[in-house]
Amino acid sequence: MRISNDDVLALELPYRERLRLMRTVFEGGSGPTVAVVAGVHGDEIEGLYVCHRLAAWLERLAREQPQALRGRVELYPALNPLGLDTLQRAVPVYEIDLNRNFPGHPDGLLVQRIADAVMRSLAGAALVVDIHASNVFLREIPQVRIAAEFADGLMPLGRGMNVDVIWIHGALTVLEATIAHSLNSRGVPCLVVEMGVGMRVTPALAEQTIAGILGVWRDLGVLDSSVTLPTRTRTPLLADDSNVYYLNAGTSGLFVPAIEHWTTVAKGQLLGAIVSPHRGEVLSEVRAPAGGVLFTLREYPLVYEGSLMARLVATEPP
Amino acid sequence: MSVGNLLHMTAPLRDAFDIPFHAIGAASEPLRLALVGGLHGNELNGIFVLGRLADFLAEVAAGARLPLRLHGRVVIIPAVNVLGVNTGSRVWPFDGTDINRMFPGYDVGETTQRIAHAVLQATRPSYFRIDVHSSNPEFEEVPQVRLYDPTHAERETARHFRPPAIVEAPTSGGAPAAWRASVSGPATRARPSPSTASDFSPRWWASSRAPASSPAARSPMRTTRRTISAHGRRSRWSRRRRASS
Repeated sequence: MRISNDDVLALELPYRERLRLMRTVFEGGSGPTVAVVAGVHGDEIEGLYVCHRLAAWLERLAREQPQALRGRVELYPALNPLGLDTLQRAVPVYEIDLNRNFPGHPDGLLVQRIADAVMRSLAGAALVVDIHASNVFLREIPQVRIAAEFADGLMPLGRGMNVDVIWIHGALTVLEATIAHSLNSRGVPCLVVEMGVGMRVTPALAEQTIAGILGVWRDLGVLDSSVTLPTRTRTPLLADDSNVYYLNAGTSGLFVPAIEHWTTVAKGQLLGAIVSPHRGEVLSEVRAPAGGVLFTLREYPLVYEGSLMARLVATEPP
Repeated sequence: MSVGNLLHMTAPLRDAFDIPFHAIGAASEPLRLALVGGLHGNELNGIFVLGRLADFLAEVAAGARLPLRLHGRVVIIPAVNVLGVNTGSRVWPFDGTDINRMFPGYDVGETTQRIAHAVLQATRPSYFRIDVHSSNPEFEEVPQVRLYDPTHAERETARHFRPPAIVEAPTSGGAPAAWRASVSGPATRARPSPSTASDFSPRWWASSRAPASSPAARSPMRTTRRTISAHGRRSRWSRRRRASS
């Protein structure tokens, strides 16, 4: 096994500094190539830690069982390096969302050049896993999100990912300028994983996700079947527009949850309250609209009217 | 002229807030023109221009500018991103979302979804719809009209602006696309901001720039953007219902 680092893109910044978009490549046999991309948004850190843990696992494999890597693994922990280094979700200077600018353009702006370079680099991969960490407002249980138009090809891969939820978006749900849509449109299978929360690392969720990624790599023949892997323990709930409920704030204020994330709740159960910072009163109670499991829970307490507080996948009829 | 409120919302800590708009002309008249400015809070030209225009049209409507008379009704929203204006922010300051990426919006969703919904409801019935932008702090734009997949009628309408340049592009996000998706009638974007990445590309800027010496008022330069890449289009679902990345 050969381990190397290279730049997918390098650009001179206006004064002294150079922007490098780096990847780590683990080359084994002639088997399939797979990739993990993360850090598309500069405020989402969970995927960086997943890349670190995967790198550590592969480095140990290189020492102990180098022949077991039958294919090739590419890790891209930071597609938006400047945003990560400056704690900005979007690509700095232009404040443009990288994940709304795929497939990009080789002669365009920084954001378009990153997108273009990444698309070229990932061409031909057997699977790309795009790891997101929600945003600073919401915490997500590990889940795979799949656009319905690509569901036939992606569902078998998604089921192997050891996530708690697979969420299939309807036809209107496609974000056409995302990396996932652009890759899937070009025949490169790409799974979007959402896990954790912005600006944080959640090791337990990372280990769960890693077990899934390694398992799918073995399923694809990237890893030899003789390799010992962490056990995949999850059977995902299937979510779609018919069984996902959104809990939006009825009033502005301070949202204080009364339950834990990834909790099974009964219809009508108290989930939390919106309270006034000025007075002792409870402004609004938040109750479950159906029986099910909370797979999204608000982490950032301030809410405006309409702010999303939680999402629930129903497990029983309303 | 009357000043209405597009929507009224509470905030977690500061005062409640709203988005004022001017309604000019008799209520019985058909809505002929809707003008929107300040979808981005740091684009001040449109806010200034639309405020002055509202005053001027109010005088016309009141008969103070004879022989000019107002036919039909006009709605003017000088600044949509009110909090952004007050804090010098292009985007909605609380969550960093771009209001011009939230169309068609959602009336019970996140704040910027509600704002987009309210803007669309107020402007959709109008025959002419104009979204006024400025560039970002890096560029100064010559006045220009941008058209997206224009019809013949839209091309003709754009010439009435007598701008130095009329720029045509195949696709658009934001308010123009939302208008396009609703009812017929020209949807025009005057002096737009670089709302998408490709709007910033040097080629785009150069090709749409009129020479300094051009007799601007007589012969608008018409260009077509060729270096367009996928951008700007996003799903209704994502904006209506999805708050995370």
